[in-house]
Formats: sequence, structure tokens, C-alpha cells
Amino acid sequence: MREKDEPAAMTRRVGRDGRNADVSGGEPILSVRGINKSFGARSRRTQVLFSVDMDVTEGECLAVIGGSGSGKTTLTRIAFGSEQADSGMVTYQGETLAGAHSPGMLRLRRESGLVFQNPFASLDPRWTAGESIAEGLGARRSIHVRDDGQQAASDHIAGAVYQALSTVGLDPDEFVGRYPVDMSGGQAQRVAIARAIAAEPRIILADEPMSAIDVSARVQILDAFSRIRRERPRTAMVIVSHDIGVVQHIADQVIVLHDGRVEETGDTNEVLAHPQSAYTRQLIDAAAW
Amino acid sequence: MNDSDANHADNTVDAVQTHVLDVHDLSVTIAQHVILDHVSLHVGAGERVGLIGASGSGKSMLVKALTGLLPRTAQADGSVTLGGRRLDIMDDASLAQVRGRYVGLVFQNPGAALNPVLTVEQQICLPLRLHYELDADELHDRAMAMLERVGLPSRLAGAYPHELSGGQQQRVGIATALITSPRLIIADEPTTALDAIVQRSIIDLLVSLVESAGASMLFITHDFAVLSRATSRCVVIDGGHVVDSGRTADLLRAPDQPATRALVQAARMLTLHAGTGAGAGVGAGVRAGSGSGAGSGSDVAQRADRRRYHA
Repeated sequence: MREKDEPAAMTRRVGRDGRNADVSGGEPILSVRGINKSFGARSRRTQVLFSVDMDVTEGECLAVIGGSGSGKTTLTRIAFGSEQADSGMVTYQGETLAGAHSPGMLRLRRESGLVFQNPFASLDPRWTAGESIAEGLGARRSIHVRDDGQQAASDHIAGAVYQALSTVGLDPDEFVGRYPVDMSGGQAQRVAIARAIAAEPRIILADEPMSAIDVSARVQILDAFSRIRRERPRTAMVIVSHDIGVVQHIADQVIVLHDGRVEETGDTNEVLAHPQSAYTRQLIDAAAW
Repeated sequence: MNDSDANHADNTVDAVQTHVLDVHDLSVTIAQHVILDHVSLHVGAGERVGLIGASGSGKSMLVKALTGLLPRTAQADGSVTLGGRRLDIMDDASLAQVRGRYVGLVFQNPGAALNPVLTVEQQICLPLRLHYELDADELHDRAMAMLERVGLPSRLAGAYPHELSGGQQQRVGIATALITSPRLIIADEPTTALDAIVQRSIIDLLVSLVESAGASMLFITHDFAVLSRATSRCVVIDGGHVVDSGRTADLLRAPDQPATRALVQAARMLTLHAGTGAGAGVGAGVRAGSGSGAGSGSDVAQRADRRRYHA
């Protein structure tokens, strides 16, 4: 049984089915404590998050679920430093995210990969898949490869690009030179995922990575995520979704948000089999059809 | 609200009169690209039919053809018969009479479909103003009654679209489509933009309103899970062709066409594999045999079996 509303329930247990058991169960790499956030001018101020806690452990996939307006995106934007909280604290690898140039923030930015809802808005239409994937890599790796010379850097980058494309299930030879306009939504989203993983981030954030994608292509995106989990067992993952049907296949832990409050949190199987709150039950019913 | 004007009698074809909508051999070509290729389908009176296909299969272009909204550059052949009248040979003025009166449309993105400068009440009344001559009191009464039927509080009558949530906007879209009591509702991906809980409530609302009005519905989607709740029969379209059709439950149980199988498999995968966690009995058609694999080779499909939830 899960202990609701108790901080102890947030601490991570060994991965389900024994997967990643060697890497999980430690300290959270990303930790969010007591986050409050409001939007709007004084007269129309609306609080969207109420003392929210969240922990992401190495090698673990955490799903943040809830309906529209529940605060999922705001919470993860704050956790990844794209938004400032009114109060509360975010720490990455023990270092506080305090402003854009704080050591924690610089480190998180270097070590995280982001995937968004609409792949066509997040890929540059003038760049090929290969260029999009290499761009992030070049910027991040230039310091490390400077001594090896430009040629070595290019080889290294090309290898990483090919590797990333095959991880997401796209044929590298076919896709490396392809432009977004010649891709379906599902293919473009997998290129966006390849870009996010190319630099071997320690933590990946995917915000509604499937809701803009055709149902038949969502399966391929799910496959891409599960391959990432298999090939990179130490990488942590945060997936934001309103659809339990999607996260059931991939998440070890879920955190259910409703109107800015944590409704419940715990092991995915546990929450799905024994939802404690009426709202979670509603979400589950909505995914069952 | 029978609108079989005498001057359109010459447009009446020998279509079976019980069919609200009859599409016969419809082909649409745009700039030498064949978008629809000899598509035939029909919707009977009181029937809810699904039209399903992946992105780019031609679903949306078919909706445009059914409502006379094809781009000017499109070339169409074949016939579209709506309530016994040939749409494909109608002039624009007659088409405008049909749209909103005989056929109501519910669109994918309610935020874009609603006029941002009209209040909810003005929006809902618009089709009534265009097609009927009613006084202000009558318009107001009908709008308020409609608001109640779609489950919106009357205080929202004066609200503008930007003040509403996505679900509320789609309820206004449904109210606007249904206010003239059309015989056919065409819903083009009406819930794709909404979250899972709202999605379900909107579909249930749409189905109950269409049913209680005795109207027919053509429901367009790419999601079989949605179809199983909204329709009894469906037509699968792929690459501009009708590739499969039959009872929704049968197609879900035993899809034999590749396009159907891909869509059914995706729906099964994304449906919760809960034994007891979810409301038992709901969507049984989708869940039935969800672990049977359908020969996909998908990683997730194989894992879904192992991770079935137990009580």
C-alpha cells in the first residue's frame, strides 16, 4: 500500500520487475520541494501549483499525469529551470537551481534532453534531421573535442547522430539527410527524441510527446522510449501526459496532479491497480475506453 | 424541418431514401495528386458511422467534399447525396442553405472554430439567425435550452471563447452544430485537442445528443478506441481508398486489412490493460484480446502482456 501525503512515499524504491535495480534506489538526481507558483496580475492572480514535491532518480521513468490545466507543464518547466517558482526549491545532483547561471542550472542544462509536444515546431524546417541532431551535440561537445581537431569532432558527432537515429527506430542512412517537411508527425517526433538523446543526457524531459501524434504512430514513439530505457539504463526520464494509456507502458512511477496539487504518487502498477483518489480513477477510466 | 424544396426536386437522385448521406464513386484530385480514389460510403437514418484512417489518408478532404468546402483547385468526380439532394452539382447559395441546417459540423480545434468576437449565446444563435426567422426572445430561449443540454451553466452565455476551457469550447461547438436540429452531424476529430477525461465526456455528450435527436452522425477519427464508444459501423480509409468497412466491434475483434490492423493495434496498446483498476466492461471491445499480439513485433506490445495489471 502506498502512504499518501507522506514524504516517505516519495522516496524511490528499486525499479519494477527488477529492472535497473542496480542503479535505482539511490538519491534523487532531480529533486523538487514545496513548489508554489501563481500566474496573472494582482487582481486575477491564480495559483497553479500548491507545495508540490517531486523526485526523479537515476534510471527511473517518472510520469507526471493530470488533465489540462492541472499544472503538469508548469511543474516540469520549474523542475528543469525554464520557469521560476514563487517559493520552493529545485536541486539537481545536489546543487540548487538558482537563476540561469547557477552551477546547478548550468549542469542541468548540459545534462538534460528535452522533447516537446509538436515536433514540427521544435525542429528547424531548414535543417536536415542530421543537422538538427548534430547541432545540440556540437555545442555541448565542442569543449571536450577541441584537442582532437575538427575531423575527430565530426566523426564523433556523425557516430552519435547515427546511433541516436537507430535508437529511435529510424534508418540513419535514410533519415540523416531528410528535412522535417518530408517526415510524418511520428517520424519528426522520433527525430526530436534522437536530438534529445544524442548528447547522452542523464535526464530526459518529454512534455506530451504523443498527444500531437497520430494514434498509429504513437506505438513507434513508445517503442523509441522503451529502447532508450533499455540501451541507457542509467538515464532518468520525466514524461508529462494526460493519458495513462500512454504512460502505463513506460513509467515506473507516477505523480498525479489535479488543480495544482499532488493527488497521489507511487509505483505505476500500484497506482493503476489501486487508485486512492477519485480523480485518479477518472483518469484511469478515461484510458480504458 | 424538412427542407426538400420543390425547386431542388430535379437534383434528387434515386438514392435509397433512408440514407441520410450517400457518397458514390467520389474522387478528388488536387494538382495531379489523387487525394480520394473512388470512395463510396453511406450513412443511414439514425446511424452513427465512423470514418477512420491515419494522418494523410484523406479523411479531412472527404469531410470537405461532403460539405462543399473543397478548395477551388480541387477536381471532384462522383456524387455526394445529402438527404436526397446532390451536393456536388449545387451552387454556393444552396450549399450554404444545407450547411448548418441539414448538416451540423463539429471541428477538431474548437478554439479555432468559434468566432472570437461572438459571445457563447451569439455563437449558438448564429445558425438559427442564418436559417430561420425567429424573434429575439425565441432565439434567447433556444440558446439557453441548448446550453443546458450540452451541460454548460447559463452564466457562460455572455462569455467569449477565450474565457472558456478547451472542453467548454467544444461544448459550445456542439451546441452550435446541433441548434438547428440537423439530420446529420459530421464530427471531424472533435476530441483530439482535449485531455483524456474531457475527451470521454465530450464523446458521450455528442452520442447522447445525436441519439436523442434521432439524427445520424459521421464521426471522423484516427483512434479506434474513440470509435468503439461513438459508432456502430465504420469505414477504414487509407491512401484515399476505402480499404475496409464493417461493424466497429467486428473490425476491432478481427481486423484483417493491414491499415485496420495497425489502427486497432495502436488502440489496444494505448488502452489501459487493467483487470480491475478500470471500470470493468467499458470498452470491452477494445480490450478484448489485447494481449494477443496481432503479430506486430513491437517491443511495447510484447511487454504489455508481461505488465498486465492484477487486482
